[in-house]
Amino acid sequence: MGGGDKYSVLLPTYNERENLPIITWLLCKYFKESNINYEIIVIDDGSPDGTLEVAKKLQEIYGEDRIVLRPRAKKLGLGTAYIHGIKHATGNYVIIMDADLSHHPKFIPEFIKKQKEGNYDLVSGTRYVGNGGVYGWDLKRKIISRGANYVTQVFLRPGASDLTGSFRLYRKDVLQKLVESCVSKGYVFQMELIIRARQFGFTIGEVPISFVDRVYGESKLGGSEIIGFAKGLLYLFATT
Amino acid sequence: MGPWTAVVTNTVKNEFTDQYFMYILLLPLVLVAMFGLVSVAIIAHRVYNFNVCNDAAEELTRQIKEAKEDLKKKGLKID
Repeated sequence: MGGGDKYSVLLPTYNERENLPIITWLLCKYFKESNINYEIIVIDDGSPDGTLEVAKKLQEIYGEDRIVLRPRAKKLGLGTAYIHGIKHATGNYVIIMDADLSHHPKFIPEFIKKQKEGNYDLVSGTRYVGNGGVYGWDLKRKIISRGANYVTQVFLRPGASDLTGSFRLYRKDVLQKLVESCVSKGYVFQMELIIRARQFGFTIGEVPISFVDRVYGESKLGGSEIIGFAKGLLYLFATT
Repeated sequence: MGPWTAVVTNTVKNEFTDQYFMYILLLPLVLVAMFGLVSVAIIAHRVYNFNVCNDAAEELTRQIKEAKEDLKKKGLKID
């Protein structure tokens, strides 16, 4: 599978010492099983917990051609992490995912298959369609997530069902162009990426994914996040 | 909005608009309220039917254990 293609996984990390070895192990396992050419680019933003040291050990185990370390001195936003990663990516496709194990690497072969099926410019994982779903979310989190998604669908008509998710596969040049034209922060950044993608006329495929939240109860959604979301939505509404 | 404004400002006036003036006046409000209710119903339905991936969570827990054991063999100790 994969043909002559190479897939670069961008893993921005901050204090992921415990999760990084697991996600790396899983990535290598599924890539190897599906016979896919890959590299994992770890972009650690100066984690004080020693994530980078663990990454170095993983590099010794899996090889420097598979695990590429591109650390940065301090925490600088997600957008610049992607730019930094793309610059060093040798693959013609880029996969973006979270390193905290909420995104499972088993879906990557499905992303690749989907991409080839429709020759899509990007394939997005979706929690809201088909067998997709979540684990570890309380009712409040589900209501906010579904509510925000509904409002976004009504206002922006984005042509994709999961806008705030960040488990996606892009053609490298497509991601490059998108990242350069997006200015938002946090998960609004993910929304902007996919909205601009449609604006530029890029094609989008979707694969249902399960999102497993292991830090139960530690809801990251407060009042300021909701205001941030509303602002982001208005900004995107005004600029599309 | 055009025809509605015309009726409300009495630019257009006939027997029908006189008879139903209040209804016409309140129509936009009713439509907005209906849209709100339908939206709440749709969101409630989607929250209720949100897939809970118990199997995926179990699989992950199993694989985390497996990964730790395998990585230990390869020389990486995780606490």
